[in-house]
Amino acid sequence: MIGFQNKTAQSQTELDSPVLFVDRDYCVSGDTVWFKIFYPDNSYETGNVIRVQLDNKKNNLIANVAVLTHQNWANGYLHIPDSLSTGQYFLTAYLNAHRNINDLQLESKSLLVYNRFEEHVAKINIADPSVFDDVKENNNIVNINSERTNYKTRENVKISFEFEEQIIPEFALVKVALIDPLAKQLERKYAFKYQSLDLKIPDFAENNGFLLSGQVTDKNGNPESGVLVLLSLSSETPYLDYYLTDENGNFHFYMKNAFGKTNIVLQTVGESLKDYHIKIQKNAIIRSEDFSELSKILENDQVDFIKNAIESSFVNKLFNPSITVQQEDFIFPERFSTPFYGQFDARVFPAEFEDLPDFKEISRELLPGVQYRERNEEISIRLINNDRGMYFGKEPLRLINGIPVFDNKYFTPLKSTDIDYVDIVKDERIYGDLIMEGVFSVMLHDKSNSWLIKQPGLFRFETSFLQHNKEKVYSNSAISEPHYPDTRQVYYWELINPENNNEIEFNLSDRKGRVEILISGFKQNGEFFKSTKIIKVE
Amino acid sequence: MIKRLKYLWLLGLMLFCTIIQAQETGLYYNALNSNSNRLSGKLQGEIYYINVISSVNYFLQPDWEKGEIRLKDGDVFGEVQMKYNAYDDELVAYNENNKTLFIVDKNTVQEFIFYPEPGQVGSRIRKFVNLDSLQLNNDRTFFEQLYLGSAMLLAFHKVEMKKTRLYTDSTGKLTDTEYEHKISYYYYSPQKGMVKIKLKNHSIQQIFPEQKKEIRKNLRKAKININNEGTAIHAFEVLDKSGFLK
Repeated sequence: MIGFQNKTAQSQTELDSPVLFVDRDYCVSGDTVWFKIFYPDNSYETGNVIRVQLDNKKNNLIANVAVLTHQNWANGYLHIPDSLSTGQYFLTAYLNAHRNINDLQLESKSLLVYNRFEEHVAKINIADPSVFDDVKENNNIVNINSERTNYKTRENVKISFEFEEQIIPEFALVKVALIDPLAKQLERKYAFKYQSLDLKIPDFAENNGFLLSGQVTDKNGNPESGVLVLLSLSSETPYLDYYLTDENGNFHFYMKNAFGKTNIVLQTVGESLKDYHIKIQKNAIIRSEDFSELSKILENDQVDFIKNAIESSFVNKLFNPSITVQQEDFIFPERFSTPFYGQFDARVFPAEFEDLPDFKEISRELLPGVQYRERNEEISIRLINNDRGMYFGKEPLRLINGIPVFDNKYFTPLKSTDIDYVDIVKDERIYGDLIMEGVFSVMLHDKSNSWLIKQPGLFRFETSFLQHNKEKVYSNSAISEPHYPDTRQVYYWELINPENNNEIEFNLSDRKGRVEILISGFKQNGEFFKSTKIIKVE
Repeated sequence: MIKRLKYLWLLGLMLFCTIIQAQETGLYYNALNSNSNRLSGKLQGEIYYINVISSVNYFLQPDWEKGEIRLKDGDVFGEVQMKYNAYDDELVAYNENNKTLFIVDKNTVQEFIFYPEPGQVGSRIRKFVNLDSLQLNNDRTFFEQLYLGSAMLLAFHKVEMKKTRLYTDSTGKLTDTEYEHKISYYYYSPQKGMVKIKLKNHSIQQIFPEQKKEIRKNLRKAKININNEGTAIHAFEVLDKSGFLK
């Protein structure tokens, strides 16, 4: 661990913030931007999950992800929406534990986005660069040596580095990328003061987990306090959590080790059949101060560069469809060997018996200790109490595919061929502060949960949790297919260990222009360094 | 008119009952308050009803003690009122909001620790560990960890029921049953596995037949005569330092 007190403008007085590195400072809408984050403080108090967001100058959140650090580093990516309009955007990394710090100071990275459908971009609104500090270069720290300064397209380039004597960097990141003249002009320390977008989200330290927040309101949007909210997942092992909304109707759930995207089910449980609404709150930060903007009229060279960038992005996608990162499966390891309702007393597989036409028959013939009664259009389910040898006086917790069911009529049409298995727990159970008089869990073969639509007070949200650790590998110097166009803009972007690796090589693409070789990192005393060298591709 | 009102009232009551019935969720949450909103996991278990016999005889501790429960998924619950039920080998905890006792699901517990009340003389921190991962053949789960180093010194507490002649117990009831607290001690290391021991010098020596002499010499040099838990712990410390327990 290194001292970061005088690191950059990013430092807080007594706080270390994550340091964000991005593989590009310009892109075309629909592209993927890759990032690496260095976060030296791995303490439990601040957590090990970094949130990264992309917003525009008006503080509108465009995209955000949460990534997990491993040995002080995190890797990830952001998809830039296809429809995003041309302009300057900012990428910022922060910790949830810091969200409520007054005047949280963070350094954002500028990202120029060119909309792929805009054929002619003549001007762009940008943050006035004169307001922000320059990023100082310390070319005396590293000597970057290339064989020549002029290269041809697709040529192989070998670069060597020489660190000044006595300088041992904590790490060094090498980036080689085609220069966008405008993005280069806009290279500044974008140090902003930030505050939480929603002050009701707690500054909870996320350790290997993801904090999900939301609000319960009535149909007019008024917050509803004291409403029990259940979160469930339709997984093989049922998962349930609960939260009693606070005075502002807010609720929060913490999902440990949840990676990827899935549908979560949120339900309200109230004393009446009141019509509640649930919304998920955006976990984001906003700049607390405005900054001056100016409208930049673009010169012809820049207009041509943008046109070329848009065409190149299109061609790249056409010939390299694999560059688009596919959404990955949801991974959420089971906490324990049994679900929240403990070990079942009986598990019944109806397929092992004769087919039965409805649930009444199934309960009577196959389910020991289950009393299913239909009387005056009311259906009741009771389980026998293992300890007392008599039926519980109240309904058990009923689940279908792990989702709580409050109306027994959903069981009635189930045939034995619909059911995979039924778990029966005949004890009085406690989960947190919730008590259950037995649990009755039906797992269906069909996991689509179409029956959910009919249940009131139930909301399904597609939610992205922690991003799977993914890293773009640039070090592959294999020569690209000669008959296929190669329109890459980033040629190399890797962490190197200068002690045993002071040479890299990469292949240029078909794109012409100036290419920047950039080495940046931190010295062991916590001082930031940055050295560059420019080569030309003709 | 009065009759009509009566019927309307009855109808209203029936409707109300129907609504309540329709909302029977199977979750009983009247005791929930803001303290229930714990983000880092929840304890889970089976509601436990205590009776006079179990209260007096089953538990290792006569009184409810504050402690900490550490779950296998890393969640930690502090300041929990709890007792170890040595008759059933179960951890029983108190849910303050529901004013309910419950048996914490064994498979979720990694370890639990009893902390002595501040100023309590003679009592020590007592840590119990779940050894179900060792898949012992005797259904034993929770062992008191007396020493942890290169090896563990463990104690298994067992309350056993014994039939006796009729007598009047401390509650004034005539009974023919007595409960006896028995403790068995074990040495455990990944290399040697679980070895039952007695709190005697020679019992420790027998675990390492090839180093019997050296161990005896070491214990004698340290003037240790193992005859209780305290001396056994001291012996483990000394032998571990000298590299015998590996």
